[in-house]
Amino acid sequence: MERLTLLRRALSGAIIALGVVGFASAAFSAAKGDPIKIGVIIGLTGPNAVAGNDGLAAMQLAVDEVNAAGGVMGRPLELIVEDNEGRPKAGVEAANKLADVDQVPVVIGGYSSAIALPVGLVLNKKKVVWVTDATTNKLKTVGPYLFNTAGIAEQAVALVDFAKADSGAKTLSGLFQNNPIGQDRAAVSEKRAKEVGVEWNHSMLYQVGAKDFRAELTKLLAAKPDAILTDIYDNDAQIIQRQLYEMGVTEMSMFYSYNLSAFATLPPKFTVGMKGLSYATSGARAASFNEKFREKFGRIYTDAWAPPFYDAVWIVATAMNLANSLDSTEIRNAMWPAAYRYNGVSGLGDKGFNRWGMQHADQNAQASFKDGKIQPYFVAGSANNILIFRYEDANGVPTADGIPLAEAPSEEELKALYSGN
Amino acid sequence: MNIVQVLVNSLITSAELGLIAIGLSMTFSILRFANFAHVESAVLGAYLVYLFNVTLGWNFALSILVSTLILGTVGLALHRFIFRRFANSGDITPMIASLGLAITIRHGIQAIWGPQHVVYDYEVLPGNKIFGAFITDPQIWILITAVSAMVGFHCLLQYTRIGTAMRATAANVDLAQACSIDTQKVILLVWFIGTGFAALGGILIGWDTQVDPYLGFNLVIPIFCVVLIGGVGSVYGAIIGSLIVGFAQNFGLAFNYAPLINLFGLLDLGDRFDLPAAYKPAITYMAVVLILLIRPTGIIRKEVS
Repeated sequence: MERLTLLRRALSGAIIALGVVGFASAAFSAAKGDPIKIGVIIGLTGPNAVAGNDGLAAMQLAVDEVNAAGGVMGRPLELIVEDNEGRPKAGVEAANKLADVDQVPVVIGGYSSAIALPVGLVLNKKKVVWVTDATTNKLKTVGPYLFNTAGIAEQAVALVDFAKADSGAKTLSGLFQNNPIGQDRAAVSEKRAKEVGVEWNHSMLYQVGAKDFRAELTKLLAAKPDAILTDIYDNDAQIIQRQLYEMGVTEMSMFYSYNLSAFATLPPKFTVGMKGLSYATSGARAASFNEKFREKFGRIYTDAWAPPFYDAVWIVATAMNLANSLDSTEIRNAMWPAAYRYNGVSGLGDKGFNRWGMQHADQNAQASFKDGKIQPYFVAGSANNILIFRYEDANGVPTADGIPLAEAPSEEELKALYSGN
Repeated sequence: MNIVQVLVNSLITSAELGLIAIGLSMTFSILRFANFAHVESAVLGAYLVYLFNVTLGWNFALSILVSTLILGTVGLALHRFIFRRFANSGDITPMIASLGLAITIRHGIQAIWGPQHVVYDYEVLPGNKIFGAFITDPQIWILITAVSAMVGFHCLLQYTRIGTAMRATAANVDLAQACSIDTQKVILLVWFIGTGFAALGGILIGWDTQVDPYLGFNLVIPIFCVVLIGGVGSVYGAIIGSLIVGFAQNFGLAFNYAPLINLFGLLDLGDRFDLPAAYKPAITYMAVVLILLIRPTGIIRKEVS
């Protein structure tokens, strides 16, 4: 039944991808006329630069495809790119500039929750649609113009379940960033661990962008947990894995990471036996995206959040075409149906938004490193390595967070959702 | 707690911070302004080693030597073309100029080498296990290099004519000039050694971990804390300050604070209280505040007359 629903949505998504985009122009002719501009706020320099440049490349790829397929309302789509430098203040300044000077109806970006949150508050106030792949739970509270294409931290329970099922761990520790998403990960993981009867030893929240983590790692290892959950990115991942190795941790099977792709460019010896979750990007459409990315940029992206950025552009372009308008509120209202029908590259294609504009489910693949490459990993006795997190009550019935909407909530519903703001 | 490992970690942190802080304190002692560009010189030195060692394939030791000497020369050029012009402009103008220069260097590095981190060309190996602690070969060399540089500088200061001239100029420029000391030469030497030390410190950090354009941004506050703790303008103070900061950062995180929280048995609030790693930078500030409360001019009082 669920498969049929997904199939129906995927088929209508294909129709959207092939037909709705550029419906104002002759079928499949390239976009013409003055470009329609949307904003991008992303970290091209600073601590998130690797992921930021990957994300921007993915967005540019999507823009090229959208334009080749007829563009938005027959006109080419164009990105106005602002570098947030990994700093919230730079992000907010960019948001003000894009909203007030460039007057774009939509901005895509984020990555870092510490930036995505204040930017979201600014853009919501100005009624500009903000599409981010940041993952802090607090995104849900920002307002009706915020959408998320990568799932939020609440869904992190999957890793606790994976670590417990795989290692039989009785005690867990965590190594997370000291920022909104890291704090969320720590809280969610600790709560889940207690729910499943695992002792939560310690949450180590580290300073993002630091150059030395020996003190943190010494303490983390000294506690001797059965398994350690990590959520680390970019340069931090490089240093932490190296310092672990130098501290004698040459076999990493006790480490389970939320973002396995962060380690993909490391020397293989730094990731021997490491396991974790990889943002699920599989299937024919994902393979095509990977190939196109390699063809255009001569490399493969290293950060798992590049595909959700690619999806964000397609969803926005589809919503603009569905709305047939550049009014940000009309585009916002079209975001739900666009995402519901869109067949994404990330999340196994399912990109539907719940009423808060967040992903209604989170799709991750269990994986492990073998010879430096990420391989599918199956817990003993299981033939499935895909973990789909859904918001459900104790009886397995989806809660409001777990239901994707085919149409936008009414204005009254949205007002009620954010009445506390 | 693996106390030997924490001790080793503390010494390495201290060695890396110490060299940069000595250079900063040295330039302050004579030029009397806070040179924010100093820390970026450390990053530039680290990138030059990358250029010579990785891009051009030079021998690693030779790359370190040449980069240090080049940065020393860059220090001379900075003085000749920028900071000498602010000699009579008070301490605010050169400080702001140094801040602008720091940002320029940082973004210049990024424009040349990109935002990604870079690593030197050597094989990372597991550390040697000594008394239960792991210490890598590069870390041993880092300690040897830092201690040698510090001892060498001490000998220069204490046992040579130029060292005496440097101390005299640092104490009182006018009096030194009256004693026929060529203070301009001394200033040039201070720029050369100070910037060279910064470069060496940056290189050691790059050797121990990695280098990226924002390395200086992460170092600037700890380095200034080291200088404040030791006593602004005191090179020996900078060494002591770096030890305090290095040990405070590592031991501060390693302790179980439960006895303190429980007021040594008067309360029973649990048997574990670990300081979250997020407070690691705060430990440095706490050390600064505590020491300045006790000794407002830093540990080594500087004679000003």
